[in-house]
Amino acid sequence: MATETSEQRGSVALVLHAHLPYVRHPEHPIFLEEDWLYEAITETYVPLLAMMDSLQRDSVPFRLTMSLTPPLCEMLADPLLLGRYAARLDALIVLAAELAKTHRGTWYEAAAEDALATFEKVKNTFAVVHGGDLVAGFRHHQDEGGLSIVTCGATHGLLPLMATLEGRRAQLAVAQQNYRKHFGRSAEGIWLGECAYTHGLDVLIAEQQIRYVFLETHGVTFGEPRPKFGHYRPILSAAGVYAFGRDPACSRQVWSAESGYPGDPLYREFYRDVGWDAPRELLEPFIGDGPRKNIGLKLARITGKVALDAKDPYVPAWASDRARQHARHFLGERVKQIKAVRDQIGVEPLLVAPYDAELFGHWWYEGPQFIEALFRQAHEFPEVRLTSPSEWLAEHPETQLVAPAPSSWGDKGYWDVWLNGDNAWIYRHMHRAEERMVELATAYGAPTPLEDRALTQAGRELLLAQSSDWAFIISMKTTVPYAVKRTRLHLANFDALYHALVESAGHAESAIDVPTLEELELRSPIFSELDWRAWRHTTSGGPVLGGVSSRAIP
Amino acid sequence: MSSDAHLRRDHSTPTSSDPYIDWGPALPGKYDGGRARLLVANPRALFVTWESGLQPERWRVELVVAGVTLRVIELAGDAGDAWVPVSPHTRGEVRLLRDGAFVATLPFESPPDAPSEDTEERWGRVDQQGHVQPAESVGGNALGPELLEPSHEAGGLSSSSAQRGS
Repeated sequence: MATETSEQRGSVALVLHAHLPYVRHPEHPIFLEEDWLYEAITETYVPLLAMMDSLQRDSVPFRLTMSLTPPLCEMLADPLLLGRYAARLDALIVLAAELAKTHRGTWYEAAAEDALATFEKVKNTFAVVHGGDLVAGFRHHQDEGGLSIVTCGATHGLLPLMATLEGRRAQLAVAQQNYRKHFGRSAEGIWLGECAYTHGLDVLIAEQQIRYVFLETHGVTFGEPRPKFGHYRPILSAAGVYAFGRDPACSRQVWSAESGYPGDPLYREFYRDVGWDAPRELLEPFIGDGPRKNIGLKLARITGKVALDAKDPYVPAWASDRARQHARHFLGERVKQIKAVRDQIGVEPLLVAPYDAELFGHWWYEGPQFIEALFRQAHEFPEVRLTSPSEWLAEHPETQLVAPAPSSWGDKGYWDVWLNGDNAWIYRHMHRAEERMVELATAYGAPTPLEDRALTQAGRELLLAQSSDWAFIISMKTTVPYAVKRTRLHLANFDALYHALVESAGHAESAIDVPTLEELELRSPIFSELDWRAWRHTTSGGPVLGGVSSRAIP
Repeated sequence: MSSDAHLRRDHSTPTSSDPYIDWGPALPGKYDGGRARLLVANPRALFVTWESGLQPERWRVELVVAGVTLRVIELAGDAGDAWVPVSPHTRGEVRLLRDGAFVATLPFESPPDAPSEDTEERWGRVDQQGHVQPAESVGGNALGPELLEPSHEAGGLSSSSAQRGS
């Protein structure tokens, strides 16, 4: 028996999942849903990069794992979106400078000055330090060893609800290919969209030389046979894929609306936004002649359970102190948890703490300060060792063989969020498109250059329709018309390309309408490297698919 | 209220009386070739959907586990769908009949909603070629099943939270 040493420590792996759906509208100068990206760059991605820069500069060791999904990487490398972002950031600086002037000598002075200084720092980090290339910035920290970047399904598709083996495989193969393009190496780990897992996916993941995944807690604890150490250690599937389970205690302290850190009264209030308060003429760069909206500039603190117009001014220094206190508290709680778990299982536990990256900075403004404080204070807590999945596996390769259980991290733990009475209508169409893509990729042996372009774009349209974000938004009833439109639009675009390709097959005269194809390529140029052969049907036996079964009927 | 009642809402394609809302292009009402599909929603609910070129038709959906028909749902029309309640961690099939004649069998396996009873321990490690090789146990004490209950209280999580408040 390879009994481990009884050193009284445990490991914590902090994992941030950074994802946004692919939203890009060259046809409109201002587009509301593009704000998701611009706000996340300013509030989350750049502050996290600046944090890593700062830790590296001060020689503070850190271990952080991030998934940067393929659509996010593609948007962060898109000249159109980056140009629009830079203009928006300049406009925010102008607005913040104006507000700093207006609020001089008032209770809001510190908040307005902080907003201006923050935007200027973001601009410096984005444009000067990283030359506008955030993906390269993340790649740098991965190459330096502090950051581990994992990939995700090509468009964050919900793999257990896809109809075909080839469709699921293509989401993984396109993702791995895209990772190589952006990071110059293969991804070792993957964040499955919505942490959604079902039987057979481990085989497809292993095919892409991906070693590990993250699962919801019961994806591990309900595995077969029962895992000896619960979710406090990864498990190993028969296909050779390690699965790390989410630790609920770590999540609760950050996510809980009642007891979570982000609800502290001293932190910045998300919902009181200058976009609703400032004179309209100052907001023109953000809203044009459209309705008011959040613009990402906020001057109030949470205060307590009071109306939005009764919120007190934000005091940045107080909030920063509180973030450091919360980091210390988090580490202290991990010490207690590790001791309690270790006393039970008798070996070193691993606590995996995954969160949406956008929680840190976008929703919880002080989140990046919290993470930075965590790394800076970690040396004071020798019982806690911050690690990454790769580092853990290098040191603990012996792992219990357990088949992971079907699961997701969505509400109720399975797929109800993405399959319910509001959004079940999408699957009939989605599955047809998926089956037709397999049909095209299998039928086309030697396409003409035009057919090759049409096949590539058909793959893009299918992948974009498969984003789990659309079904999620429909369930959450937020921007429902947009999500419905995106689903229908990509499926309709796919349908048009499919019929043109079927009609063209074997004929000298092409049925592909070149202007239409060019328009689609212009609107959704995602995955320049995409190889439509990823959908080809393979005759070798694949795994039995969990989650879906399908039969032709007369 | 049955456990899958939250799933049972109108599942038609959304429409609006507001002419200014753009829902995108219409999708085909029907595709060439009939198809029946089964999707697992959770340990207690299956979604079955089908379409066929023949009409008028009477459809019968049967839930069969271990050769025993546990539930029957009857519907009319050339296409349809049904939510079929099922027990967790169950293998079985849904049989689809049209006008009394069998047309398709859709196998399923519902996920478990509790820790496994199987406590057999096998250990492994992955070699350089990606193959699993047997390994020795690392020792330690097993957690009891009562400590493995799900702690899925952080409901509503999604990997794409940045658009939630927009």
